[in-house]
Amino acid sequence: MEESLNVIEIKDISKRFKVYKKPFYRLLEPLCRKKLHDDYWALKNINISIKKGEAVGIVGENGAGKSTLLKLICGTLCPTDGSISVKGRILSLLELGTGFGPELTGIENIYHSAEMLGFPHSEVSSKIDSILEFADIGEYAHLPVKTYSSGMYVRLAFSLYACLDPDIYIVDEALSVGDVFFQQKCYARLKEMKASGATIVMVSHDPGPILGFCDRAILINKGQVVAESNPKTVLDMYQALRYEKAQTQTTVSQSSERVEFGIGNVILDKCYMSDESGIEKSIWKTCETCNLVIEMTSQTISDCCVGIQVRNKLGEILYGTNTHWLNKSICFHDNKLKCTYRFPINLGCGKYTLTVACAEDRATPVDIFFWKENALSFEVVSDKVMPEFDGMIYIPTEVN
Amino acid sequence: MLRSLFNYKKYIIRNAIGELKYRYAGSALGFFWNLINPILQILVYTFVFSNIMRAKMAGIETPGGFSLYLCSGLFAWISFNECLIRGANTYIESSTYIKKLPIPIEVFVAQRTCSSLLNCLTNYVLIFVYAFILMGKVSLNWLFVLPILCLFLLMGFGLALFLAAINTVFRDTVHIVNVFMLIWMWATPIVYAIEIIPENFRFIMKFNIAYPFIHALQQIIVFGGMPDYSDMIKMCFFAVPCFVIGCITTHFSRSDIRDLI
Repeated sequence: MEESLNVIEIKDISKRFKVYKKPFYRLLEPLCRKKLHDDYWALKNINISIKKGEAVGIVGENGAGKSTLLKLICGTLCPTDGSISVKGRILSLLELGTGFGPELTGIENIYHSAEMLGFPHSEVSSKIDSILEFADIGEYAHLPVKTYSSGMYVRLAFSLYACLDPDIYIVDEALSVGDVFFQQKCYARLKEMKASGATIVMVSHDPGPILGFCDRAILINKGQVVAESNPKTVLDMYQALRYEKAQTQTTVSQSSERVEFGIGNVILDKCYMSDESGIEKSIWKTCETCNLVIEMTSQTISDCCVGIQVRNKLGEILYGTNTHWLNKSICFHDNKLKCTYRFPINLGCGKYTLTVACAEDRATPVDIFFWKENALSFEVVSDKVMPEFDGMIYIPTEVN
Repeated sequence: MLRSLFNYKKYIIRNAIGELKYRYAGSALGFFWNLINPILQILVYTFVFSNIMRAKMAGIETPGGFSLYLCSGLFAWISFNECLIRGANTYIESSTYIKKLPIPIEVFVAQRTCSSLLNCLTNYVLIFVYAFILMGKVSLNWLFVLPILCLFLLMGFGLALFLAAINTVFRDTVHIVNVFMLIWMWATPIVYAIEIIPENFRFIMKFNIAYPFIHALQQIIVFGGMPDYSDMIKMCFFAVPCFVIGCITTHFSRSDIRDLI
């Protein structure tokens, strides 16, 4: 009985792609009986089962095999080994609105796409009103899609998906389009669907929806399931994984992604953010207190000034300070220095980076020992405890 | 594979009709272009061949005789040609759907073939009207046209499946097919009568798998006769294996095609 509750049952699945140097080799291969391709295993021995009514998030880096997994679930790719059984109708948001013909009107497109997705005409006609209401594009529904703005296009496309009710929903990054109001509407709609018993499989780089939405998360790395647990734990592991990778790859990514310069007589050993109990983390809630720990080594310098900058995703500096301005003199002991900044994260939701620098302890330093942009990145997610607010920073406010 | 086509029959037919409907979407006359196009073609050929080039068919003396002969073969050929060339390109063209939807890939080829067939059938209805105007009589033998066209496009479907599979790997296929079809058209007595070919070269027609179809159509429409039994046997003999080859190719390359596009 337990078995039958699983709507998606993935057993020991592997997917191999054959990589040929030239597409023509594929034709030659069976003729000359020699192996002309390299095997690339996108997924290896994956076992996942998803119950009815569950919302599962899948996280992993680019190229970890998330999309391949989704495609296998949808049935648009066939597994090399293993078996998948899916019970019920799947609707995937993998590519929103691809079935739309530019010359057809909005309503014609709705019928046309729904049919491609396997929903018969009769079922759609009973829902057409709610679809149009959800899309909220007014008279444009009767005009060809080519006259739409890109926003309207997405609205129409999503409305179609939102108003059909499949047994299994597959949500990709697609939801990160459209304006905020529409996004909120979409998530509210997804919640409704979940409440009505639909199963949801979600893939996102954005920790927010996975934290707020999923009952369970699965971390995939290099084609294998690394962790399967509650979303919070899995997201922390994902961050740890990214961090680990960033550490080993600094030499590679230096030139392309981060600006780094300095004399080099001070070396930044470690730089991390941790909470009150000393646990490293990079996803924060507004107003949590954070400890920024900077560890450095130097053979020649005894005292210095350490500075930090918080930047938003556009690279604008939101706040910057240093030990000189804070009237704190710090110096190296046994060639080591550990400097801890403590501040509340008074920031709105979004992604931020930290720049760390070290220079001589003067008002206008000449010698910069090192300057490392994007030494760290962190993300602030909304906290249901805090009152809602708008904007990039949080200003403690009272109203009388 | 046959089952999957059967399961999706509604989808295939509806889309094929939709395609004809929407092919001219946005134009003022819309759907009617499907009718206007062949009518204009018939009129142009009639004008050219009865007034300018003055071609005559042996056995038929009316002024529009040659254009009737021409159209009865040509329209079938145009659809066959369209079926093959569009069919060969199917997986590339509909890659967005194939990547996104778990619909069996042959459905997309079938949909295109089906719309070619529908287009072809409407054209032949117009030809019948034209033949009636020209000769003033209706022949029951015209009913044979339907199974012949179906068989012809069944053959086209099989070949298209085969070519489409190759085309995903070797994208030059479409272009090669394009040239090949042109040669093939002129190697088939569509625009000219078979009597033009020197006696000692006519054996080539035994190997031309499109010839029995075209020949039978011309026989029925121009001369109002029955198709030859030998032609009927040949048609089945050519069409069925082509279809089987297409099915087998698709069956074995199905998962590779999805990986590739």
